[in-house]
Amino acid sequence: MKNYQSKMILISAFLLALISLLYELVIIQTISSFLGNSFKSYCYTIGIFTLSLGTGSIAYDYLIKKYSSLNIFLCIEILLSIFGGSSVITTYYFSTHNTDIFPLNIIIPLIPASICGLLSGLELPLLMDFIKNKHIEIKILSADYVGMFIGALAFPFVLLPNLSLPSIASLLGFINLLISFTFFLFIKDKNRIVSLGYFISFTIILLSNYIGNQLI
Amino acid sequence: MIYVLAFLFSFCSLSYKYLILKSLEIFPNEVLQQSLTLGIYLLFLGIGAYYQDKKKTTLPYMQLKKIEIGLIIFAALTPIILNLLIIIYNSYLSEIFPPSSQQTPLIIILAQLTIIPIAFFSGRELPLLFAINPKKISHGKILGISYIGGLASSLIIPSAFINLIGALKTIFVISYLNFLGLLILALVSKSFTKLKLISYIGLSLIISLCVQIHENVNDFTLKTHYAKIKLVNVSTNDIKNYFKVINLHQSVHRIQTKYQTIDIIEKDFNKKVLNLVNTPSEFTFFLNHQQQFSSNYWRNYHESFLYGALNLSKIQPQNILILGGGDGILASLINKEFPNSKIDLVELDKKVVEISNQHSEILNINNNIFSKNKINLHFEDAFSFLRKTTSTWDAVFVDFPFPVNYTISKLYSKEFYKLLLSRISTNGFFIFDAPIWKDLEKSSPFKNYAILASTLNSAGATNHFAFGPIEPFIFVSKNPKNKIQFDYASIPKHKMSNRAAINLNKLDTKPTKSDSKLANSLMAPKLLY
Repeated sequence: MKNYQSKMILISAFLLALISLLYELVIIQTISSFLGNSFKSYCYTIGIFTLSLGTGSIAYDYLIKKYSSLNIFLCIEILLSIFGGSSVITTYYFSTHNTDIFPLNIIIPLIPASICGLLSGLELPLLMDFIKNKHIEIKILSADYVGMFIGALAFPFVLLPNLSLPSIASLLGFINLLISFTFFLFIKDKNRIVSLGYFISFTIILLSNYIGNQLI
Repeated sequence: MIYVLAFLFSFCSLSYKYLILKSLEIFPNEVLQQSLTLGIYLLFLGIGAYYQDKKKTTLPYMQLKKIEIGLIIFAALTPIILNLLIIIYNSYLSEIFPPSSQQTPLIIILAQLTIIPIAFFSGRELPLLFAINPKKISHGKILGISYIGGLASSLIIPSAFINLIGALKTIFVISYLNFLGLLILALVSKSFTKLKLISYIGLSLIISLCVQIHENVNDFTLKTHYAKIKLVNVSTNDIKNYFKVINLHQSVHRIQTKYQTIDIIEKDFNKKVLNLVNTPSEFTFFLNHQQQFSSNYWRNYHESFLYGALNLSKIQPQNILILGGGDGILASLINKEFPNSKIDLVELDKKVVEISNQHSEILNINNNIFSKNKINLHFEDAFSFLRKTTSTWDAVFVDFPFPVNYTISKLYSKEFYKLLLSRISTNGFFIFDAPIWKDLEKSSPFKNYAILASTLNSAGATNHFAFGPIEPFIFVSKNPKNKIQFDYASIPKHKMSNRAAINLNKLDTKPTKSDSKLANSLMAPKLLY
């Protein structure tokens, strides 16, 4: 593997971990606006997100037997940019069109969180799969942890005071898409369906941002 | 057994994280705390796993037992450490870094450091569980059970334990659960010698000892918080005197409810100290560390609230709604003024009403209003009550705690005011106490006022008026054509204390700007603290 490629994977690991944690925090903030109890929303979202992350990394074993790691990665990132980028308005929708029946009233608003968690859980094993070098694998793990930590600082200090929740989600979805597109550029035989996926994803992100900001 | 251990260990680890976070609610900015806790926890969980990966795992049982012992001891010490940190903050650092200052994040970060050892030890657990895996169960399954343990913690901790015994005490419950995991591990490893048995008994005694120490330290911590006495110098003599003075205070009566922490400061709380300086003592009622009313100053606030609104509105309301105000003070005043009007009161926390219907000091103030069956009580979240109801009211009094966090801030949002406005009759009004005076402590004057005015305007409540240099309120008339101004001649002086009359003045300073970007909304929340 060339030097710039391993650097690109490291940067991606950092950014994807940062984005994943930020999705989690954005969804927590959205849910707590509707469920009321901030601490409960925090615990429920983290619980479901962590479970989905784990399920995602387990699902990796099954997916990798059928498809190539790069194809899975591109699809995962496109899907994540769609679901993550629109996570605020979908969480808003599920929260405002909720039932009173327990535990459905808790589970339904958490659907976007579980989808984002599931897709995020697939990212790290896939990045590891790109590099078979044990030394770089450890670097990827480190980039992942540092990314999450920086994300935890960026949300309260930079993003929340300056941007609306739909705009934060859209920004994150757009970065997801950009990372995926960078990998896509390296493929020789470009798949038309994937290209269409970028177009659809980009449109959904823009639309989510517009609709979300209309709710303010 | 591996499954049981994987479940227990991840349950305990995530529970510790949640409980430490909950214990730090004394500091403002819950979003910063939630984000930091999550970031630090995940970072050190990863570092722990990485460290374990690098370290040679020759005796995995032994290593895991040592880690569990370390984890249990540190977890049992955590409530004491957190209490000590809060005591240091209350006694000395709060002068340098007041709760609303820009530097407060530094204190929050300091308190969050307690999460590091817990995350680090927890990060080492899973690789060791993989190593001791005797039947070679797939790692995926162990990982799956571990995630389920985390999910169980996320569901059980906020719903069950905390509501019963509070966050800090729950840490001890989890320590005992962790201890149970250690015993199971010892049984699995078949290394239950007499010496080890004694050491395990010793460990359980350490936890019990920590529980006892915590009880005393926690009582002292609460006293330091409410005594409002600060250390000027950090000398041995000053610290000794500080401890003496704090110990002269009576214990704070704390009640943990499903929704909040209620602290009751009885009149004799600082009687011994105040006797020394000849100052009258007072009864004070706190919700989540925020003062709601006190026996000496309740008139000023509640009379301004009611008579200010009536003087501005010039109407005789037939249907009155009170949102919040479970102490019954405002309800009592309203009932006295309009004995034939229909009064509804919406309170989230039933316990507040129960206390207000039992405590002699509160009964003296609210005239035992809840026993008179004059008030229609609704125990519900105000937002969902307004969403469900189809009734309308002539007057709505909004008596919520100040929006010190994003959760309460939603009750000051554009969406809330829009909903509220739709439940008010054509010539009706609503009034709420506004955290405007907080602006005076800040470098940007009337920032909160600008946010509130912009929020009201964007909700369609354009006809509003702010008054009260002592206790500020914002009065909103539904009819945009109604002229809002005080008729000072008609203020019922015989019904009001002097201080309240002084409070009925229009706030001179207008918001510097009012635009939709400043509006507090659920999608773009703003903190007003």
